[in-house]
Amino acid sequence: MGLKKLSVYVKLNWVKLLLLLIALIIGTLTVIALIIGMKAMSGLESFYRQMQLSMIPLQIFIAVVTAFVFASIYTSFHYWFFFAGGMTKLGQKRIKSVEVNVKWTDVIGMEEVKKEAWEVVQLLKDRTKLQRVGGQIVKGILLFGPPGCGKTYLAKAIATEVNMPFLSVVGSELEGIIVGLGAAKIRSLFKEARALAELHGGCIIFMDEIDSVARPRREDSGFGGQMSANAAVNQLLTELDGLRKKENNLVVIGATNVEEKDLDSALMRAGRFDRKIYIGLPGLTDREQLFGFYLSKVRSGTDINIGQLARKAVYKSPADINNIVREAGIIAIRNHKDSIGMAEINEAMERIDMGLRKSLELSPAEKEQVAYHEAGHAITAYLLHPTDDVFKATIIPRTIGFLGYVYHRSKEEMHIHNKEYYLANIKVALGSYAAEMIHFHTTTSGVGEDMHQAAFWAYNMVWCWGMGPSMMKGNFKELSKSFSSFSPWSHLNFISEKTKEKLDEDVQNILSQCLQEVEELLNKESGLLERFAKELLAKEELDYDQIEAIFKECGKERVKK
Amino acid sequence: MKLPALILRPEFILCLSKDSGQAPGISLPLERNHSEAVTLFTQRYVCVHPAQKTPGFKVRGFLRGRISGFIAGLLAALCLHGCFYLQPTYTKEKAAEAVIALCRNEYGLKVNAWLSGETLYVYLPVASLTTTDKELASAIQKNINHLVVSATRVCLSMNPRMEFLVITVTDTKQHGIEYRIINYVPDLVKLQYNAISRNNFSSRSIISINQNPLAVGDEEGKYILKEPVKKADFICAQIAQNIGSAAEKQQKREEQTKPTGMMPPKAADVSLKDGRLEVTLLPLPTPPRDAAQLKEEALSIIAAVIKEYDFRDFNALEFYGLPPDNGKSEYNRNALLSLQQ
Repeated sequence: MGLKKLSVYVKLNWVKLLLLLIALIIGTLTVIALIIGMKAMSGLESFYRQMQLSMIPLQIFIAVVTAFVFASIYTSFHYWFFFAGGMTKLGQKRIKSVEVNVKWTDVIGMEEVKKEAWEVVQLLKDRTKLQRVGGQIVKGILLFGPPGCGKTYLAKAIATEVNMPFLSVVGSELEGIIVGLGAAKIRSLFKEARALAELHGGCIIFMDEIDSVARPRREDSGFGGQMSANAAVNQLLTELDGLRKKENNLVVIGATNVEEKDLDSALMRAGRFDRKIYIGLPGLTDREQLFGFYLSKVRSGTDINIGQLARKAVYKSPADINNIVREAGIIAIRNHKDSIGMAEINEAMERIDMGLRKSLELSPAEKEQVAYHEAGHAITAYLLHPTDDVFKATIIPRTIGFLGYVYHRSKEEMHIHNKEYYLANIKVALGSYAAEMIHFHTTTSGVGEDMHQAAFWAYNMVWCWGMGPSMMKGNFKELSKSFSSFSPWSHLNFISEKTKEKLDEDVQNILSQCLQEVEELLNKESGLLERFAKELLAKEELDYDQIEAIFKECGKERVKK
Repeated sequence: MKLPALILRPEFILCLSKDSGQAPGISLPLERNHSEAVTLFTQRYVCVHPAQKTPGFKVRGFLRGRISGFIAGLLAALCLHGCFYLQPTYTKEKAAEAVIALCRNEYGLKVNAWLSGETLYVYLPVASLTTTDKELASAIQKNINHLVVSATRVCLSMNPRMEFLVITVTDTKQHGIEYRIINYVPDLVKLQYNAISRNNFSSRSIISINQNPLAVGDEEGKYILKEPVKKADFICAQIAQNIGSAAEKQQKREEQTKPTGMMPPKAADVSLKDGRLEVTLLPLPTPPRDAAQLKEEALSIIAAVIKEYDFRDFNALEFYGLPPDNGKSEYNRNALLSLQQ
């Protein structure tokens, strides 16, 4: 073998040669150590030599026992780590259906959703019926919607109703610090679920915040994190896939706050999460039921008007309503009351929405200024707003940053608004400015936020929604967005300066027109303004009924909402 | 040979040979039942893999059958080696020379040693044995340890072993004070095996300090009576020594005082006369407050020693206690052994 060949051989087999060299060195050292040891042993006096030799069986026995113990530990750990789930088992919640114990009747405030979920429950319970007609069971249910609307609660109720084992995991628990651990955890979870399904005839896996492991797959940036996330999604897909049809009494319920489009599209296709249930914010009737339910669990006073509370709690989730009642309970205890009354619930709602009362000493002049400011808002909202009710007016400063506020809100959620609604909003916002001008012939910085709101709505009406006086059509706001310098659109200017001027003119026209109308109204209702402001100054806080009384006293009625 | 695995692989089927003759092309349908196929093959054919014909395979096959046997043999040899007879390092005839050589070569001590029956005597003359505080000088203690280690090594690595080892260190320059240790060699073996504790071993060693004017100037140890130690004498001396230690401990407990001197007081006379073991408790400089307890302890010590050495050379024990209960008590062997706590 030539030198060149040898060099190539070394290059190709350097690891083998290195290992061989190490083995040779270890072998040589072992032989040397053995020779030295044997020499030393033979140099011992007969008694000590015999003693050493007689110890050998014991030493071998101890070595065997030690090796056995360590091998057992190592094997057990190895088995646990690689085959029995290992760290994937850590943090997983295993809940029996009897422990869940959320009855179907306990689920309130989501009647439509319950109807949809009930079908699934029936399918799970009467599996044989479905099989008889050749149907396939729903394999995945995705519950999505805003937080606190009862997704987890509904999942638990389903588990209780079908009386199946319920494995609950949170999506974040399925992530792992090691690449592939997330996938392993999912594998382990489904393995356990399949075993439970075999034992009990079915099993429900509830994956809360499933978006943690169901985000759309994408290319890894090079750090391996996305690779791990992709692997988890792939594993979830595999487990949910039709390949495992024989285990079709395994149902996965996923819950998430994110929208469907933000989840991996492969997970959303039929055959995986077949049923998608949107659990949104409760409607008026639902809110009434929710208030009724939560108040039934506490001692509540007779003055509670659930209908009014439900109207006031627009956009509140069941969790929010639960929180309001809980907070009201704390306030009642602080007020040394035996039961929760309307005042406590109102205070709880304000505290949650507006923050705590602020111990800020305002001068009488400042107070008066704030009172007229809020009276302007209240009268405008009461008399001009087509949808909103005035629930409260206060001049007590709050930690959130207000010196006072008027709480007006529609009775019902509204998902689309017309021009009149926005004009009314602008008028209500400008009501403070007009009231201050009428009474004090000047205004304060307190109108800053109102002006911002009014301008914002006017701007959107003109620029986005074609609601301006000149009736210019187009979403100019979108068109005026600057493009990235890399974009081929970056050099284009879609809106001419003339158009912009006209649009700005429209915005000012709307604001001026609204202000004029508000000034006319408040001048006309100056007596009411005085009365309301004085009452506010005297009581500092006016509730729904008190507001209603003042307006009635002055012979005014709400606009028909 | 793993036939089921082989049958699944086509290359084996092609290489089947019948009675070592080639029979290529014989095959069985692979879907046939395994056990059926195995039975058929083993009955009719010899299965040979092409690789089995190579020299490497043969060597591996040869080793495979023998490595496990070699390892088992090695393990057995290692385990059983301690059971085999080992040539003793020292012989009885050269034991004295061995001790002298060990002390000289390893510790630089010039000692004299001789054998008397089953007793090995080792003699070390020194210029001064004690310090001004009447305690053993540290250098002497060190030399005594060296002597004990050397003599013990010789006594242990000998077959058959001696019965007694007597080490004497004598002040030959001034007063002829001698420090003597008598060890029973089986006790030394037990100590090496950790069968007894070091404290127990100390209580079994007879240590005495005497003054003998004849020792002055005697560098060879000629003054020492060169008779073998008798087991009965050794046991009597051990009983007397242990009773003395017990008396000293009792006094220490009562008086809360430290023992005076290097040796415990002589508290008992023990002798064997005509098959009767006579033990007489002697009056102490400070009489014990509880003589009855000392008597009980003494009897217990006697019983323990008798039992430990399985001493049967006596018929009865005559025990003379201290006042006020200084009457004579007699025990036969069984009664004595039953006294041991």
